Amino acid sequence: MPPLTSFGSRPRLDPGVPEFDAQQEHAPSELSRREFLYLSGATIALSSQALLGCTRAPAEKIFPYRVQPPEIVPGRALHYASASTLDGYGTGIVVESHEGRPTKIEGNSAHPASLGASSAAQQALLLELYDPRRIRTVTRGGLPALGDDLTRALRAAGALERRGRGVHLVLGASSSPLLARQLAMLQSKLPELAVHFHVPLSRTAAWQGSRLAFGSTLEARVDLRRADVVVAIGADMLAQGPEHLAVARAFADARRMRTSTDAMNRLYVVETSMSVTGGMADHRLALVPSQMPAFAAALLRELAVALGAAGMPGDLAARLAAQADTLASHGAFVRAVARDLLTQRGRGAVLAGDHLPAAAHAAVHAMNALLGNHALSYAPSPIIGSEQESFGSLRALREALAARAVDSLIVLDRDLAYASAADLELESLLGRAKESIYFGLFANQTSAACNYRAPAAHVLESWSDTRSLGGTTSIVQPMILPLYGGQTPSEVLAVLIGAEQPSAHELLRDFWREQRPNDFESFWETTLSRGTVEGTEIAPVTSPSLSWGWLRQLVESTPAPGGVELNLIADTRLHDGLLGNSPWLLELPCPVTKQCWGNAALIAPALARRLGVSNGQVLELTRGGRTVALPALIVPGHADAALTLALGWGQKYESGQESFGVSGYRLMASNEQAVAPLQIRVTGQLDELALTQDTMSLGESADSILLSSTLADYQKAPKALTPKLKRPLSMYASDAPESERQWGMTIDLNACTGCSACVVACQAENNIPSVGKNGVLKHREMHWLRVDRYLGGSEAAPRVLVEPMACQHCEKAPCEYVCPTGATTHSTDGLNQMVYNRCVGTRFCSNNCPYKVRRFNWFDYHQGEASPRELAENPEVTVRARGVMEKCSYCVQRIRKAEIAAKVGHRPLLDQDVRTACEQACPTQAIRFGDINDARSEVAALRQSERAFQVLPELGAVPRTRYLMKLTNPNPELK
Amino acid sequence: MSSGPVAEVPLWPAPDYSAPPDEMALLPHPQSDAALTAELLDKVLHPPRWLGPAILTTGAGSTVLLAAVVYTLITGIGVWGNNIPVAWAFGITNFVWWIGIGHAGTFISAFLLLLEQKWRTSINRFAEAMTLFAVVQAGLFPLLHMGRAWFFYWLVPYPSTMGIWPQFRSSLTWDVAAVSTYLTVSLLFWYLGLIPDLAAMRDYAPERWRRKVYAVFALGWHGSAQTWRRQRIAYGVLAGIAAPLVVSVHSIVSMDFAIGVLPGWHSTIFPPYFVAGAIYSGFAMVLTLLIPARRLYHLEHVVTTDHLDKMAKMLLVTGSLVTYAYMVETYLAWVGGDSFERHMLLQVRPHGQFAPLFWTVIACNCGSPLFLWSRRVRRSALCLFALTLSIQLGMWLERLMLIITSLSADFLPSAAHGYKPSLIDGALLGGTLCFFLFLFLVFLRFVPFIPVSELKALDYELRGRT
Repeated sequence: MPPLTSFGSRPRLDPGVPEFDAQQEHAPSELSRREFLYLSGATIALSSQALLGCTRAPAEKIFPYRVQPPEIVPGRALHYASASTLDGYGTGIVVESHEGRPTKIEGNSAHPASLGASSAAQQALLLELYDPRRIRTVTRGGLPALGDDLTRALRAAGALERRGRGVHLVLGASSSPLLARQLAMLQSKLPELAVHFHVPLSRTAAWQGSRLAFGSTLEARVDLRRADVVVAIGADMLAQGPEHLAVARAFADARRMRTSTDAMNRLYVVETSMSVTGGMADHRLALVPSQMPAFAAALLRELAVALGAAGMPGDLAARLAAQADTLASHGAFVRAVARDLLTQRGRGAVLAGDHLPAAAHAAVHAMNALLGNHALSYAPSPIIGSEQESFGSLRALREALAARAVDSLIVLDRDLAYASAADLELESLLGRAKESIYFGLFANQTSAACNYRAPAAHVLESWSDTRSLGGTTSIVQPMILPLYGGQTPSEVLAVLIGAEQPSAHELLRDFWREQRPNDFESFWETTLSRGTVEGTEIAPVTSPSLSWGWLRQLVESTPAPGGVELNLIADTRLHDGLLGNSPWLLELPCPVTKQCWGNAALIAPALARRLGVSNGQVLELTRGGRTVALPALIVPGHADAALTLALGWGQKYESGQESFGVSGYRLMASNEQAVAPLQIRVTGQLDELALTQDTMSLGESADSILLSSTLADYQKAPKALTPKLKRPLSMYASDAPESERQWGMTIDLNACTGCSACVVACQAENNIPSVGKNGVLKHREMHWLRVDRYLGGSEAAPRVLVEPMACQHCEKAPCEYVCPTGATTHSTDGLNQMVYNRCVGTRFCSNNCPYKVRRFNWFDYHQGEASPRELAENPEVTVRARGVMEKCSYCVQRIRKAEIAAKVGHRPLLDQDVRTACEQACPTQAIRFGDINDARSEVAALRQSERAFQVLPELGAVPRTRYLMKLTNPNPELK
Repeated sequence: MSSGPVAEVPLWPAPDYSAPPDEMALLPHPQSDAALTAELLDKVLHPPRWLGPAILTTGAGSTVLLAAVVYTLITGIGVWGNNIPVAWAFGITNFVWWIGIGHAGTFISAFLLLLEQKWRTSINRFAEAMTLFAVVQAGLFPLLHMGRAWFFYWLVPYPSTMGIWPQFRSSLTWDVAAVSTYLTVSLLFWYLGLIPDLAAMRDYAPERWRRKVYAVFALGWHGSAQTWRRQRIAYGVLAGIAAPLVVSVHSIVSMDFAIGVLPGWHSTIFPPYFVAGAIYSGFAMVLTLLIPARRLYHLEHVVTTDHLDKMAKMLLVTGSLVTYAYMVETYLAWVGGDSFERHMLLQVRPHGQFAPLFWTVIACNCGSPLFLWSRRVRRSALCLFALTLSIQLGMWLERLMLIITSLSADFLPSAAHGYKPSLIDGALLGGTLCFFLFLFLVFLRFVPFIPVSELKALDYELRGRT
């Protein structure tokens, strides 16, 4: 694009700069006839190029619609299998696309890490793709630059004669086979090139633990269906981790309780702050982080004493006992857990959280090995470089930067300056690189420190591949051409390697053609359509041999720091903060605290009393010379002498302006062992917490709202616990003739973990706007589906009850008779419908809704959305204007679509044909939807369950959504 | 209609020569007809000097209302403090309060007319005008509180080409009927009573243009016995129609709450309780307006201390009814066995986050009328004025408390949320107060606000002059 350099906006027209003279030479006044023709020809060529550039149809294969391609029917969505990657681990997704525009993400049921479910973060990928804040152009030093110059800079870094000296490449954890090959090629070409994997929340300690216990880097995989007793030590395995969707499914399967005689597992959780997993626990123990290894040691000792650990050094065993004594106050708990594990020998599972020290992981491996637990299996990690001790450490990069030894720094979409321990000071050091190139989706502090800033391709715009924890490989297909011409990591690496004009598509195909030379095209086609590459699972290592060398580390590792300990955790929604700050995730209430649009210092009620603070009072936290200030939030069940801060918030934009919340990385130390204790100062200031739920006590009418019981009580008298339902009398005859099909939903509270994936899935499917922090502070959040959370029991040991709450589609709906315009009516198939066009917005329906699930468009929320945000809207759902009510429709668009398809296909509508967005996303299959009149349907069977109940039955509204009673399985020994 | 024997239908009730002395006190200083007419009409023709600036000030205040209304319509209801669950708040509170205030006017003019209460005569036009202007303010809020106010007519049963009717089970459609009927009947009733006095104005006004304008509104009134007869019949009929409206309108307004399922709303006591409350606040408003007007226009001989005393007694009666309703409501919640209702009335209201609101309501509505047991307080204009302000505040807060407490903490604890009004909410309330006063002052400026003809008739009645 030569015109840009000669006529485009220039920083200054300094006569000393050579280009200035060059421009003088081509001044238009001296235009000759030949030049005029030359220029006008170029203009025509350029404008036609620009016209072509308006479309976003894939470039590879384009035909006019004269003969319509068989797979594309305007108005009919297409679904493509692909995969998303978090911390390097892939999870299968299926992307719904309307006329070449991705509009919804679902899980891929053929993928072992998804099983059809999807997480909130996966759903939010869609909004990330269409985020108006994305980097759109290549800039150098903040000014527009040419892609060619960028390529030249990359080539210079990859020049053969430099051998990679002074070239540093930073990328996130990856399991991509293509990338692994490219990195190997790169390192053989440029032996001195430094590759840094930047993973703020890496599994390094877990890998290290497996190296200590088994001598090689292995990933522990767990199948909770094979475990009757589960002990989670700091592990939030139901909501976080590479396979949490599948783990949650297995956990729920072991608690499904289809009949009262079924068996149910028992979950013990030991953790510092309350987590999603902790909320599901039958017994929960709150310990400060430094006590976690001690707990592992104490449990190991109990088991070792009972089972006689062969090979355990005697002197260390004695010291293990001494350390176990430090937890003497919890001795009863440890002994009860140990006895439970011993009685269910082989049918237990002990799990450790990623942030636990390596020795604790080794101890957990040892416990599982001693017990011979079948639920656990071990296999090599799919992550590139996981066997390196220094994986994820940025210390080498820091030293090189400090020594000004970095000639070229290439960062592939990693915000190092933000998501790294503050004592590395990367934010200020990054500027010391001579040449630095940032490929990313968003401008941030790292991109600000780099010379070049270039758009990266979003996962929905990329060709690549990725592997799950178990090794299952998926090909990532692009759903749309890169909106801003972004590059994939493989393309960047290919330029470094020396390719001329690399295309990720060709690179990927060439790589896989080498892997599968026989009948490649059909392999390619089936793989893409299924979403997984057959035969790529990593075989588990059969009975790895256990060594005890790490035991010294375990007994010596735990210093007992005084005061309040800092517990930095991954945020349940934003994870490490590198997920693009999508409003869907920012506005998703935390499953535990119900806070959104920010984080808080989570403290126990006891600590709050000691400090004299209440919710929202600002605390100043100082550690290692750095201070952050953020509001306190009291969490019952939190360990007393600890303060929890979720990472992932407070990311800085390029301007230096902070987004929502406070960055916990400011308090993070690169060496957690040698850090000063945490100091807390109460400032006396108040900060408003955006909480979507203020009251967490069920109050005196608990039995009308949420039924829960223990397994023993339930099995004693299964029918006694749910009230017998009477059909209430009514003045009005049934409004509409009843049709044969009657839609209904059941939600199994015994399976629901409260993870809130359904909330975002609903938001994505139904074009639900985000209202921002101010909107939430005014209680105007628009979520059609919310997850209510209640606490029972004591303040120190709360019993957590969660209850997803959306429109109940009452058969005698209180909202319907109060609407003056008849804008909310009942369909013959049992749906409480909302007619947006007829709604004048009196809001009487919301007032009269006992469940308060109706949402009102206080403003024209969609009007303010910046382009291309509107591309994410689902074309099958009305985008609501200002002044109308809206609420859960049971995904009526999906119902009607399935009904039409069945009718056109002359076939009966099957139970699995209609799945609501929440049901589809739910990892535990707690939500079930279907025709309650169809005796073969799942939902009809579940409604007959002895655990089924209505919320607020006494009002006579006859809600269609039924809930299944929550059960806990406490250990009688611990009552 | 052929003119029949005039004497058959008495123009006025037969003079009662044995009128009790306290009725005589209603018109203590006998005046000639001409003097009375001249005095009362002169107050309109030569308004006091403060009136012009007062109209300008309240007019300026009304522009605040206009600005707030336009801003709300352009931006959306989001500029109010409402939320989910508190989807109604200031808007509906203002509506119920203003419409309640109107009730005293109709009560005075219609009910007391039918009951032949003579003391209504001096104050009825005042009260009727107040009704009219209050209903105008009230009518603004149901329109404005809608998310899409421009489709307000969908609540009206009109023959739409789509064949769509309002949903008649909703009390909001009943509201439309009730309020529009009320506005129509109030307007007609007020105007019908006004015609003879407009004719008097036509005859007395010094300037020609003024006489012309009044002539238009006097509808050709010539004061023949036949015209008087017809006017009195029509007046009586309209009083007959208006009297049930006093009960029905606020009963229907109360059903905006009573047909809901919410604890604290779902109660059969609401209609009588609301009607009593409406008349209570309405009488308070009449007094609030009357006491300063009486003083500023030097009308102590027409609107006497006896009038004040009688109205104070009405306040005492209606205030006691309201207090009784509070007690019954709470008692029924206590013995009713509905845990949500019990929680609402015994926990949320007296002890919840809006407890200060609740106790202010109790102090204002149940506490203030207790002073009225004292004859001295009843006959002291200043004390009464202070008490009426307290009662009006109390009645406004009562509606707000009723709405926001039940909405903010209904059934599911998870959905419970507080409420905070916005600046626009305040502007709308303040703006309607200004607009109300503005309309009232304009009324004082142009219309004979003491019914001259009726007063003269009363004079005849009381003193038996022929």
